[in-house]
Amino acid sequence: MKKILFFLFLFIATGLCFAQNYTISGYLTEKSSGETQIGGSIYDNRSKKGVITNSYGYYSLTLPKDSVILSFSSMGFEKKELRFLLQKDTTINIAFESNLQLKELVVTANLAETGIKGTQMSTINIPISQIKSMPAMLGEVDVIKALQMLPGVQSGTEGSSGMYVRGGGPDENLMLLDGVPVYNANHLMGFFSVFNADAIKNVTLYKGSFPARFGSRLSSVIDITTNDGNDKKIHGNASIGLLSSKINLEGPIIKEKTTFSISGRRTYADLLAKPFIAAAQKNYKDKTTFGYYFYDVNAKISHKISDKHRLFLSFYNGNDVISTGYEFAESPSLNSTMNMDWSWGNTISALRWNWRVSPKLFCNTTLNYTSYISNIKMAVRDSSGTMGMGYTSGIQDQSARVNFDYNPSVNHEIKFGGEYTYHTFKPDVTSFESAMNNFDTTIVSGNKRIYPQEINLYVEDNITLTTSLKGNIGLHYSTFYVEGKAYQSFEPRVSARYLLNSKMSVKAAYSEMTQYAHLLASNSISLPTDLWVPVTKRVAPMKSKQVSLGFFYKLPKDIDFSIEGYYKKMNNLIEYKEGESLFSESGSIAEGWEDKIEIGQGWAYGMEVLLEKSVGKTTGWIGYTLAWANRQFDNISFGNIFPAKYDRRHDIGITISHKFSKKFDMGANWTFGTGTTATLGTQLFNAPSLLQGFSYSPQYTYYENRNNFRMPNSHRLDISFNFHKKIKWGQRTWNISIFNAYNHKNAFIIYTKYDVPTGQNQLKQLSILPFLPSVSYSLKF
Amino acid sequence: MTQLKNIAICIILSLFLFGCEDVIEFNDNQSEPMLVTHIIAMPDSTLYAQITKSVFFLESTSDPLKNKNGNYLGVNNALVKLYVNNVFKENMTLVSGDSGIYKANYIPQENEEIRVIVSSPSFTKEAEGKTILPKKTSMTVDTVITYNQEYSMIYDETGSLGYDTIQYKRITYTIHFIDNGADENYYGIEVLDDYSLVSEDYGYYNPDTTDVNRYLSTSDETVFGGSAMEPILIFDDKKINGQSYSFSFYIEDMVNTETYYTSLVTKKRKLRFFSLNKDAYLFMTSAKKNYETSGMSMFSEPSQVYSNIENGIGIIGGYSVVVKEY
Repeated sequence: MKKILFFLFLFIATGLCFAQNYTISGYLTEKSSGETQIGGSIYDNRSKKGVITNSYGYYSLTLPKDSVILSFSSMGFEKKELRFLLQKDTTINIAFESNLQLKELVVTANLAETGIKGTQMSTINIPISQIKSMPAMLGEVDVIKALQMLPGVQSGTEGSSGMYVRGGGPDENLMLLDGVPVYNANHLMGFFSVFNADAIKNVTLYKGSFPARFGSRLSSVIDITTNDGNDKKIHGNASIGLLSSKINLEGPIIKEKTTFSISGRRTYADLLAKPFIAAAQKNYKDKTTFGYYFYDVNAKISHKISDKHRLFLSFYNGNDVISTGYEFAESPSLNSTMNMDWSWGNTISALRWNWRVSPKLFCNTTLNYTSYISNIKMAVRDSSGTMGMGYTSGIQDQSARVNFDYNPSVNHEIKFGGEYTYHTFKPDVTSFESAMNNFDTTIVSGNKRIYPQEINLYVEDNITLTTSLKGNIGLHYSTFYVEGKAYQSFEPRVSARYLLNSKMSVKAAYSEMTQYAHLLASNSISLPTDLWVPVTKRVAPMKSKQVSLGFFYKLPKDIDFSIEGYYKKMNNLIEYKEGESLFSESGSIAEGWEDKIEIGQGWAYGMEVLLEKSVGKTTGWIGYTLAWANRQFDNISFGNIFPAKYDRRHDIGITISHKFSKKFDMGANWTFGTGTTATLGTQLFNAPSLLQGFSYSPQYTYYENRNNFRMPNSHRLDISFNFHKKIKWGQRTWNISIFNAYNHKNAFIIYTKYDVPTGQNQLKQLSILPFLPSVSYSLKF
Repeated sequence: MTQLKNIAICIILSLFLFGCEDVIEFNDNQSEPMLVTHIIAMPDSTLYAQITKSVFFLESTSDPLKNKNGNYLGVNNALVKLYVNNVFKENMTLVSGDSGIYKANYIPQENEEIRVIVSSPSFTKEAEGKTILPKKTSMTVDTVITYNQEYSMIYDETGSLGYDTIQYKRITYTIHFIDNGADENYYGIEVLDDYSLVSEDYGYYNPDTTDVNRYLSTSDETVFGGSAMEPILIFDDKKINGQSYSFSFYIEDMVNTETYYTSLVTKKRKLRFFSLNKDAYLFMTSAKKNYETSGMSMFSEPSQVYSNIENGIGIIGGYSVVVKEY
């Protein structure tokens, strides 16, 4: 470790020794809205040096004193070029004009962090416009479902938002909304994610080669940035779909200084069903009510204090709510009621302060709050009084973070910073209140709260060694203090790019990750009972080491091709013991969870191919994954290696969008996945009681191995058509989406059932998402 | 917690309301029947093997593991070769064709390696397995008898609710033994009763019922991890390796009182303390879990039964036993 630190210091120190360099810095924005451009490129064609904008649209490029030919570009915008003699530190803010009429739009992927010339690999940036043009299930565009189409990302059960990245589990993905972790990214049992595409500006997925600034999860980082808001005039859009309605409004509070952006959506199946449920019970005295809905609200205020200082305040709140009620006549004059409300969701807020300390140094300070709470309330009211029961569980984080971007010289782009997080884990707490027969009772029981503390520190340097060879070297340090025990972790991160020519490069990367929290969840779908628990004295943090190697090629017609191979080793993974589950007959989910699990290891390796076209009338990608994911636990399957739950050998994702005209465009997705695994007992046999001879032989089920059975392959075609029309005060769009266009029945779960007509036991699958057409209407103004 | 579980089940089951069912064609080689071999070996005792066959899980008969005569699906054309310490001893002889029971003439001894190779014209592959017999063990037992009583609600002849007193005789056994620190050891304990059922009221007398397993209750933290109530208590020596150790358990018999009458009379009681080998231990613990978790569970992974038979299912396990009779 000392050696690593020494070399890191050496690299940074060499960068500080250059002289006669000047820095060009500034922001890239979109002219009509003032929205900052993340991942925009600034490239000097003389020195062949370039940088990309950070999450706030800021860049800083240090070059020697000389004449420069600077190209500024951002995905989908006209490239801008400036020639001048660099002889002092210079600020250049560029506002790009959106002009879709241009025949040649700029492709920046090859200049960006993730493209041919960037040092990062296993990283994909998807423009939100691409996500919005993809087919939507029930009219709801979903960020996570778009990511599932990428190579290396496996989806969970049919239609769900579960993500399994490079053989990792669903809790090994760090989902960041404006830099704040989202602990439960699912609505409606995982069929939709909490990310409202209308509120989002940028989505970046890291599935390996993690920059040192990220930590806390083993398998992926999904970095989502929300819109800052238009600083020129008020804009918005609203849409009505079969499942939900959405509205998004953004604009200036003080022109070109303070902006707001607010988005909200709500499903209304509960409201639509209400009159039908009432009508069905019209002739009954007893009444039953049932409703389910989810909603979410994103809000953000951005304020430019000065050229050097900017403030951002962002907020998210989203909940799923199930409510049931039962009313019955206890006597002719008295109705008794029984109600249950179950709500679960996230609340997130972040206050960020950008400070351009100098042209070379950019600082961002953030105060974060995130919480996920699951809450059940039951109430019974009858002639004897009232009785109520409550159940609460969740997690809450408060954190402070400071990040620096420092570009000291031509060849170094340094990022460093740290974060302190105060976690509050709230394992399940049950309360009982009763006021019956003049006898009041209040009982509160459950597990005590746990307050771990976590510190993360990092430093990384994007180093240009030669014109062909560039590297990113970094170190992430974390410590987690829980139950009087402090875990520490040093995680080296290294990636390198070698440019074979202007259109080809090879890249290699190595990264280590550590994770200090586990999600206790069922394997198949997201339930509101899913519960985060921290590592403990007995259960050590999960760790992973990943190495990847890739080849990147810029094909004609703006098509990017990449092929990557990876090998990932994971330790201290957890799985439920055989026969154990989330729910125990006594106690709570959190109580005794350490006794229900086994600790083991995992391997994942494979190859990913991506062919991507990001600009032009036709955009989209073809992704193919060949992958293996295995697990080994001493006390599961008697120590034998077994395939992971979502071990899929082949996975294909094709997504295409084509703009036929200003009035009409369409998109299509096709996915194919080898069947996931399941544990299926295939033989029945008798076995005697060893101690009492052969007289008594009960029946047992033979399982060859954990996850011995492979479910049927799944595939699906989704199509969407968008009809646009300019109207007096904006544009209206009719969207027609067809989910599962050829109605392929993909298995959600499998089970055995006795079929009466044939007299046979049969293995059956349940498919829950057949051919699903939907329509939505939206207005953009 | 049960309520939470039920709600979660309801949420999942609600998917069936709008889901559609489809039959999956099972095109897997896991559908062929397998040779099932069970051998129970004890030092100084006759060696028996039971050879049966398994049944595909989608088999539709009501009791798929029994033939028309109600017997297990014994394989009566098997060749069961017995090897002891890698030396061929004999082909075991079929003694019960219906049940597939085979017997050896050789009497095995402690620490011997018993290996069998089973073949049958009905199966393409030979099944093979081996195990090493454990050493004999010894123990001493202390017994303490106490009485306690509890109240239970009963309805009398008029249908009125009342209370009854039930008296229990609790017999607490404490087992003392010395664990051999050089080996991994596994132990088991059971209590078997021989009963007579006598009903004076009706002049009814039932012939003897023998070897009925009694439920044993313990609260030993060290080897049983706390409270347990099982017909056979099994444990390993991980926490007591090489030590002289004592553990207690109890059984309770109901005692006849003025208001309560039991016609069950224990004639004889056997306390059996086993030294199991690892194969037997793994089989017994995993079979118990498999039995308890059989059937589909939405939230848990099923439990496999341990097998040390290659190309088949089953177990060759060994144990030695010390019996104390009362």
